[in-house]
Amino acid sequence: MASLALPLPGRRAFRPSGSWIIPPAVVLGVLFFYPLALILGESFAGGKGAATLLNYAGVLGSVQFGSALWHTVTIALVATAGCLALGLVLSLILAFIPFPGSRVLARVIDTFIALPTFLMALAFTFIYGTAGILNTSLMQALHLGLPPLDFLYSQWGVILAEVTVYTPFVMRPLLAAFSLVERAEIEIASSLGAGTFRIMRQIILPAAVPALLAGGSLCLLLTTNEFGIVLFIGAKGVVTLPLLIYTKAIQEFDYTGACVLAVINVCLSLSLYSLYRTTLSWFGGRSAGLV
Amino acid sequence: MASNVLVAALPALPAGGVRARRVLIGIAIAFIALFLVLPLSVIFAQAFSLGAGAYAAALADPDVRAALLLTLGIAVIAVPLNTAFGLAASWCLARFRFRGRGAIVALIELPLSVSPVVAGLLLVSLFGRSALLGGFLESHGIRVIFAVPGMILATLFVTFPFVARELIPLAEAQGSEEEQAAITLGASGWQTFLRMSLPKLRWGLLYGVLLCNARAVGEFGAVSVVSGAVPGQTNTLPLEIQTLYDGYRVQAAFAAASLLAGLAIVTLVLKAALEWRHRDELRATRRAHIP
Repeated sequence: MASLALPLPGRRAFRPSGSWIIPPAVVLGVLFFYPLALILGESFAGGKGAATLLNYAGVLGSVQFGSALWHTVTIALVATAGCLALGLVLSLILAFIPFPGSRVLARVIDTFIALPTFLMALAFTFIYGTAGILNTSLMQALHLGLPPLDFLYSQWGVILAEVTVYTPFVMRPLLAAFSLVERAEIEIASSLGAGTFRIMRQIILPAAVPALLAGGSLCLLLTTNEFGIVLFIGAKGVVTLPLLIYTKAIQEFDYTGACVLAVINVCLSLSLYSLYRTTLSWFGGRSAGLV
Repeated sequence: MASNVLVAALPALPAGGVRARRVLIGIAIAFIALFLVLPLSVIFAQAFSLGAGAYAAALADPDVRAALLLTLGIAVIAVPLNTAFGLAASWCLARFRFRGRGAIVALIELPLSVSPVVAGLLLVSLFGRSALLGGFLESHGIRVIFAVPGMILATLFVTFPFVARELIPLAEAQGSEEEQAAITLGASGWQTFLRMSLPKLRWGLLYGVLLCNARAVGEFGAVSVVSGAVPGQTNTLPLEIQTLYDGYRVQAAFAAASLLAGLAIVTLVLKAALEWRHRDELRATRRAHIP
């Protein structure tokens, strides 16, 4: 804010208020960094007192962990890719192909953001599950003996639910970015003979890149950490890191094991978070504000 | 910013046949129908599957009632606190340039990057019975983990960024000229904030509060780690839904879920109504925003 360089008579009146944010920031620091240190300590010492790497060796070497890491990473990557693709298509349609009701539709998509994520998973089991609406109606219509669609209780069910829930997080910055595309630019390009695809490639998509990157990295972060959806879909064998931490801590009372996994999970999500922040700062404050 | 209102102002893409256009519009509508309208209707259909009497009976269950009250109570505490913090933080961050400003912004968004399960575990490590602080509080008769205070803290933690991250970019984009003018004309800091800054932030504030509330009401992971899930005592609505669902009381689970879905729909309708009532003013702020 360059305007603050002006000599301001009232500037001093503002100044003391700057300290408002310090107490909450301290609280967050205490509520986050101190317990994180406690968890880190527990993960090494494991109640035995001496710091060892044995806990880590035990956890990292287990089949459980390998499978959880694999599921976490694939689910997050595939779901994010799905969110980006679906979000891009839907935003393009809503932004550039106005039709009666398109504004209402854009507004309805906001509903997703206000719905608890696990509710979707709960409803999905009754739609796409083996005994769900879709399968029973398909079985009746096609006279099948077995449910034809059996994907819900697998990684794909989790991915489908996550794509549904997190696509709006990509659409919001995209729609905002599209609103900044100059109407005149498109009209000029069109009058100079550029077709739809050329306009898309040369005008619209470049405008969308920052939003896609920022929205995509946010999605990656949220899908990596998602818990409710995975738990409620309840697919056998599909255990992600957050779910494994929950199982260890709450059901197996293996606090040390949970701490080791939590440290690994925090490392994973913090590196994704720094990726997200870097992406934002790359494109400057303005696009950052849109996400 | 809820970008939906902007959609109407966008240029339509020139080329593209009528048929292609219809197909694309069809995709958008099909997506909304399949992934939003259908799941929501399933929730309500299942809730009423045994008739209105069973629905009323499920909601009259003392455990469900207690869960609803607890959920609302936690939201009533967490949302205003985080709103006040978000306002203070955005205002200060937009007005002052100081060392460590970037770090504070990153710290505010940090809870977004931590898995809710890990957030719960952080609280356990801090307030658990065997922890230093937790043991001290326990010996003075204050229970945090497996009790309501822990659930409030967990909700505060996970909803911490939502208001602030909506407001920070808005406050930054607004500039401070009018506030400086107000101060020069003799307004106090509070007057300036209430009369100049707040009105310009209110649409972002509305959206942030909505997101914060949705998350507070629907939070599952963090709360479930610290709650202990005692029906009637430490079960919030999401946890009660899980308890019912795991106990094969499906209709009751969906009746409780319909409360959550209803809450989400009510908040969105309120938001839409507010935006509709103030649409001219809203359009004016939007226009002022776009460079």
